[in-house]
Amino acid sequence: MSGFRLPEGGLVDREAALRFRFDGRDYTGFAGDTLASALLANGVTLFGRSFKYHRPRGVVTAGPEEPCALVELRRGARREPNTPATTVELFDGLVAESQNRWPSLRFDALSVAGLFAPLLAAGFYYKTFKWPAAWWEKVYEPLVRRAAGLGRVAEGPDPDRYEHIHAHCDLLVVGAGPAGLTAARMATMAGARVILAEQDALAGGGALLDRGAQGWAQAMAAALPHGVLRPRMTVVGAYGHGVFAAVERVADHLAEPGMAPRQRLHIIRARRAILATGAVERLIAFPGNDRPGVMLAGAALAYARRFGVAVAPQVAVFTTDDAGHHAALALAEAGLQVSAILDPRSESAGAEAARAAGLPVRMGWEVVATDGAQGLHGLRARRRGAAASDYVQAGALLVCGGFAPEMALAHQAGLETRWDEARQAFIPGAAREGVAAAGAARGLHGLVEAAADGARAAREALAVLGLPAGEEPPPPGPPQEVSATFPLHEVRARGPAFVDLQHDVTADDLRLAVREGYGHAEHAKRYTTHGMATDQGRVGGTAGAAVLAAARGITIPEVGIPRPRPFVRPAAWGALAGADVGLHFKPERLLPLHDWHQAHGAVFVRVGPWLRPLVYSPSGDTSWEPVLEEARNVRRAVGLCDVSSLGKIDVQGPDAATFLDRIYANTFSTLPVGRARYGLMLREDGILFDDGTTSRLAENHFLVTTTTQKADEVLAHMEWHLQTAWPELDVTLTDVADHWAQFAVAGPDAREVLRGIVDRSLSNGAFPFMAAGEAVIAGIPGRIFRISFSGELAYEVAVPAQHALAAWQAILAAGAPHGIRPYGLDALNVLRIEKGHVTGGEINGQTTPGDLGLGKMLKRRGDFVGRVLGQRPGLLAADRLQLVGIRPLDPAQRLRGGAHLRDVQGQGPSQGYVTAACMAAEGEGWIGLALLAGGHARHGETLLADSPVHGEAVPVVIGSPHRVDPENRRVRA
Amino acid sequence: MSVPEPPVLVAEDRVVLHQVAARRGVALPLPAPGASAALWGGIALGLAPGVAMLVGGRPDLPPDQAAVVEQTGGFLRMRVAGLAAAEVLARGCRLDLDEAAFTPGSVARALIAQVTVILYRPTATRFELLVPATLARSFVHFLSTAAAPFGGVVLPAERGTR
Repeated sequence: MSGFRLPEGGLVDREAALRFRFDGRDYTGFAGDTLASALLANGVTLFGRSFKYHRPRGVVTAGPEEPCALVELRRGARREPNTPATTVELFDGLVAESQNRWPSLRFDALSVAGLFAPLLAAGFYYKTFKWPAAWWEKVYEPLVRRAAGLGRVAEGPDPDRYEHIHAHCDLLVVGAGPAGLTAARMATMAGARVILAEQDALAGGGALLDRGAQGWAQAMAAALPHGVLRPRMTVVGAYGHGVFAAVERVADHLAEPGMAPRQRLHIIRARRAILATGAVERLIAFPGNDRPGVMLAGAALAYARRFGVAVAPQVAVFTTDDAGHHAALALAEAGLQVSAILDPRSESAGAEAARAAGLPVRMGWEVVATDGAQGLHGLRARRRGAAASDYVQAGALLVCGGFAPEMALAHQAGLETRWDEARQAFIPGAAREGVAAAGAARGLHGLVEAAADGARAAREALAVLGLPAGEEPPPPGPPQEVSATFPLHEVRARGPAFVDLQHDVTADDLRLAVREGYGHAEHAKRYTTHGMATDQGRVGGTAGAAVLAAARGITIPEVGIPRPRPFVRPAAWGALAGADVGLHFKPERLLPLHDWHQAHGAVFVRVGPWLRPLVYSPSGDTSWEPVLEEARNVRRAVGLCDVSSLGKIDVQGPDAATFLDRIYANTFSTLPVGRARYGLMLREDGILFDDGTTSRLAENHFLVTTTTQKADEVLAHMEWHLQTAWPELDVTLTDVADHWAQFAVAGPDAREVLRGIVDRSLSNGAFPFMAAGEAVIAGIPGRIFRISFSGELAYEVAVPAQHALAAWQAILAAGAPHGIRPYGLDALNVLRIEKGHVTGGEINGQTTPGDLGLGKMLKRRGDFVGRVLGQRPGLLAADRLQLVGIRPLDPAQRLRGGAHLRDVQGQGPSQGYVTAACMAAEGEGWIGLALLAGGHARHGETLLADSPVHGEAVPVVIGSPHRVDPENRRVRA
Repeated sequence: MSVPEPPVLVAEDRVVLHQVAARRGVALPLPAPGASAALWGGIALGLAPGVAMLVGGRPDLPPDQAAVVEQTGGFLRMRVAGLAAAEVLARGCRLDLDEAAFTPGSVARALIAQVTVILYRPTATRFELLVPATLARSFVHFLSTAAAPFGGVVLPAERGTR
């Protein structure tokens, strides 16, 4: 017996029919329906199959706590699994499919798994698939993955857009039920900035199930200032210090998002927060409690009152709380036939009222079995303690096992958890760090009580915020009488009684876990999967705790419940990732002349955040040919290289020289004004940190250059020492990396090229090697440095970045008669390898200056960062990996970066490795740099460069790393 | 007929910039960190105690009074204006940009969309951001993406150096 649309009632728009499709069949619903209410109205009872046993499952709830009715939405790249049909707002053209069934929902071949249920008890994965071990990957895992699991993820890239937004407020109210609406209304009237987050599309919460209070909720929501109420926004995590995360489903209720993002992640910083998250009705564990047609009493009430849908023509109720009687009365009033109300208690006010209305109430009774196949036909019930049972006909069995406050956020916010015996529920304790619970989330029952509690919480928050609390808004109706909840969580009888419908966990599974030593709430969760997955076991959590308590012979509060971590509800990866995806995952740093490089055939390479020209090759050819052409042009004539990505730090102040003497391992106080010096910076532990040239522009003014990769780290290193180690030094550090564009003009013709466009003499006498100073370059005031990374006569010119193009083009024009051409990072690398200059491959966080042959640069007197620890014996040992040059014995053979150096027979352990390798621009064949154990003393030895990855082993000769112009004549030319 | 102001307007340009850091013991009329002040023919944005970025204008200070470092090439100025300006920036900015919290005249060095920028609010509906020049294009992508749903208009960048 199935559901149908009631002739009247509900908040749906009966004028607005919407077509949708479920499992290939077309249906019609109304605007305001959820997928679940529309399917129920169409008589659908079967929504999905269970996780483990593939048992048929219906819809259990009317909200986000739904364990069973999970569906796949949409198609193609937009396909999304595991959405509760109870939260899917219907739209025209919606396409949904059931999950975890094969070949079809009505006939599921894997439901035979149910026959083996006794073998599939808790922990069966751990016990069963242990042997043979080799079968795990090939047999067991694929099998388990096929049989178990939920929906299928989309295969294509997500076509939709997501974004993050940062929000701030005085008061965050989570949940727009009576408590939340009241609190938000009072706080906004007091002038507070308020965010009222409601996961539902409609505000009202429990008030939506009460005909009298529906209008109250609408009026309260309408009275809030624009933008305060945020529907479709689920607060998914509380992170302390008033930080909360919330996912707003901006366009999930639309077929396609259009311009809007699909979802938006709000990172909310709130001075105060009120958690008015309500409570979920609980299931009772009894045999057959998972059959489609068994659902929560409040859910049936919601379908009737909010959606105008009867879940079945005839219903029975099994309740431990008066809420079940109230639901039965409401449904009877809506025209449903109530065949029985079964209540284990002896008497209650709710039962009296139901009886007075002529409903068949059986006090002291409980349900022991259900009957039906893919829908419910009836149930068996017995007087508690009796053996015999009666058959009761019903198309739906409405269960009310009391209510559990939704307290995941309260848990995360650190509120204490208490056990309330009368409510048979865990409830949050007092407010903590500005976060308070209110209303049903605090264990209160009834709309009026909840609203009053919301007002109380608002007054407390406003007092702390220093805002005046005004009058309370009107209550949602007359006070209602509430009952205590009877402590019945499980009916012990024959057959599987489920405590977790989504994961097929039975009460027996939990008892088995206790027997096998996994009785702790957190252990039992992992051993049995009780309380896992998309619903986190909301409706069966307390029942599980009660079963564990009984099995262990302790009380429910002694067992407790597992601690819920973020996210409170499933959150889509898209929302978490936001807009920073694909190429925009990280910001890109572009050289000032990026567009010029691109227009002139540069092939770019990513170096950290930078895009740098690797080689200028309009054909896209990145072989060695164009690279060597660029490098040879530098050695032969002149080349131009954009080195603007180097770090540049302006150092000023009366103590600048002292500061540099301490931060560098060599001395700078002796550097004359107008000169540059190559400097080494160590880490505190004596390992080489970075290198670069530093120029003295004036007595108290230096310019430090760093490598591209270490620019930010060096600045932080310097700032840190300035602020913490030597606060007495009067020094100002300024990052000027982006202000200055810098170009290397390198090659024998470099002076000739620059002579015509630089306003100062570049002769050796006037501007010798390592000179530095101000200059006007092509009419642009800038700086010029006579430094060389290539080993050739070279200058670096620097101009403010806005003049980069003018300067670059002037140099190219002046260099045209000399055959000047730009060169990229690959050629730069070839030139430095030939010259034996080190970069990141050698300054790799493991080497010392001594290892790289630079030990003589360290100053003898005076302290510097890294001096003490750099003298540790391990850093001075003769057999450390030391920098050498290598070349193949046979010039026709190639070298590989990363190849290991072994003895020439290929025997024994690695003695070192190749840090850089390239084709030589000067001379023939391959050359490289390597770090070799005791390498400084091994020039002339023959070893094997072994690269098993490439299947290559090349005999190489060890030599000096300085292959080109070792006497440094060219740079002084 | 007046053209209605778009909800968001993003414009990018160069502006003369100097970072001014007072030498120890030298009192300069620099604004406090987080504040701004008209100074030396421009607007000084307070970045740290004794440190400000001067936008426009030219400080005339000897080296024994202050370290003055030109930064004109180092940043591009992006102006985000319109009624939705704060909401657009909130897509990447953790700071509370409510007018009562970040009042007109306020300054902050802030990480927005993974880029450290200097944020200045001249008026309630106008923000000026000094964005490191080499990261400007990524930042424009962020701004244009964030502004698009508001009908944001992004003016083409000044191309003088690119």
